[in-house]
Amino acid sequence: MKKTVDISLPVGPMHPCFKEPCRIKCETRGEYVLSAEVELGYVKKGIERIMRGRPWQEVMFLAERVCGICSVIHNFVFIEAVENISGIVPTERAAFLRVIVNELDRMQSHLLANYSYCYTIEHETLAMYLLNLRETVMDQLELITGARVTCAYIVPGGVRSDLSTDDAEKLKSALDHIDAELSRFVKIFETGPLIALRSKEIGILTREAAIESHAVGPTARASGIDNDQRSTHPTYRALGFSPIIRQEGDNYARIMVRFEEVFQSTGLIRSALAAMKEGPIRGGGVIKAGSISYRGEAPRGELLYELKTDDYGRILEIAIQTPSIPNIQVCSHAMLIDAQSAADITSIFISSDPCIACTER
Amino acid sequence: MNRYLYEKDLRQMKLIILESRRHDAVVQELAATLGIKRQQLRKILIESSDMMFLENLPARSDAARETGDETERLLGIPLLVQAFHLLSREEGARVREQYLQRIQNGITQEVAISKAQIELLEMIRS
Amino acid sequence: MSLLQSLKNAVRSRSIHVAYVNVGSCNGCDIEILACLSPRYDIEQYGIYVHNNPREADVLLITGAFSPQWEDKLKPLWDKIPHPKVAVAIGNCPISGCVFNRPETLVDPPVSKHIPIAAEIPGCPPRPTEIISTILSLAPIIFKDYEETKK
Repeated sequence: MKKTVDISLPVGPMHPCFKEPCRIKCETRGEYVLSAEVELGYVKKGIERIMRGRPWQEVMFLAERVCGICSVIHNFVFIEAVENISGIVPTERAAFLRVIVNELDRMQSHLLANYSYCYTIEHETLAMYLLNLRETVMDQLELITGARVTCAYIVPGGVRSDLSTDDAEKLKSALDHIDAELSRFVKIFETGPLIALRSKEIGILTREAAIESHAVGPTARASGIDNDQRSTHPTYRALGFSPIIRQEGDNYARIMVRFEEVFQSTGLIRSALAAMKEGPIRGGGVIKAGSISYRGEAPRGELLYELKTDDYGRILEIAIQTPSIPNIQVCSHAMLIDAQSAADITSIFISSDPCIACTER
Repeated sequence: MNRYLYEKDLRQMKLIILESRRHDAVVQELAATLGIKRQQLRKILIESSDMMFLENLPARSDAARETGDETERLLGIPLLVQAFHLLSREEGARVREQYLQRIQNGITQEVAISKAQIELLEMIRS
Repeated sequence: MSLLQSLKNAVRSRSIHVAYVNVGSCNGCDIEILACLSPRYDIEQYGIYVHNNPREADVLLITGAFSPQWEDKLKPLWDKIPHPKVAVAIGNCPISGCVFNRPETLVDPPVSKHIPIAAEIPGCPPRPTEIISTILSLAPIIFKDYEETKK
């Protein structure tokens, strides 16, 4: 990048606000941000290179470890892509259980994202409330799958373990608790005057810039783009899903979209629990040769797996396009520009829910 | 010239990004439309873009492919202007007009395309 | 033991500053460290304070399997931490590379090649309680009578 200004302000790789290492290099005039670029490579592991030529049983666990925050959706999309190649259909109960686990994962990811944002704008009380509520969601994930983070719950043809009636009751009461608590926290966020000062009209992402960079997920939906892969997924359509869209495109809208999606997720889990019938949870099947490019909706947006298998169930070619890639790119090249103060750099960056581990794989 | 602290040579890591399957497909597609080797286009991209931008090339190209008319897509202008940010919109429009002018003057399509390719490369390298 | 040393021991046992650094993990261990902050585990009741500043830290938590960008950065970062200091490896990645240590990979584990590691917590990822109990049991051993044993 050509030097046009007097001050070059690097943020990172170690910064108190960032969960993960990355480096934003801002060119500023005083505190006004003129341009920004992101330097990566701190968590590059080469997962796609490791995956190539390995059997799907190994790639399944590697896919889960692309990202620790949204590990369920990577498992979900990879297994469904492999199933689509081989013509395996999951049993009905398993399809609903997948949705339940996926929505729980989305809830914890959104709560974590909003925690990070509140922590960044120094509203630590609300941040701690949200982090504590996230633990309730993690408990439910552990109740169903047996692990907190990397659970490998979804397998071709079904899921690993069943949900008993007792556990379903526990899950329902936890959902009621989450709804009641979260509506209180959302009210704090909506009505707090200082929060509004630090969030509204800051980091505006226009619809045109979002389309040009292919922004996805809550970042795009806060700018008025109707883009949610769940509306094409058969199980979600059976549950009557419709995406949440806001028009403002600022930090406030992005956080509010995530809050509203948590409420939506609890609703989806309730209707999945109601629609679920007793039945087998494992179908089984054989992985065949073929190639596919399959999309699913991760907490951060559209996730794409492009893969090619052979008759022995090995993965010959694979490419993963994670939602954080377009979101961080549009954040650093469109949202950060024209930020009025250097203090807003971190809050704008965190509001797009960056996940560097996803981005670099 | 003022330098950043701990600045490191990033070319190797940028190359690793471009070697990924989807990135490679996009780079090969554009290199074919420009009539140059993949390595040359990689070199141009590594010099002009930062790492985050390179990671996002396939998604941006998906978005850019839906724009532009038949002529622009033939010359790869939506990719160059919108997805790769190698040219400005005015430069893209100018190349398109010159190409249409040549076709009207009775020059065959192949010759017109190769002339447009040379113009595009000159603009990118300048 | 001198009076000054016993005073230092008492203060240090209730004030442990923690910095964490991700050298190429999948985020799983990082969010488990973050979960320690939540009121359920309440890491601050033990006097442990997490802030990501190496210059004030006593304990450095390391997650991840060491990616190439850190080769020239982790050692300077470790040198910036004032004595007495200790590094704890969290998860399987800094110990062995976990699933990432395969042919074609870019990572270069273990982290103990680059800086001295005092304790390791295996697990993919370990639970927040394990992280807290490790810090609490390790810190007194390292920091007790630091000035007198140094001589």
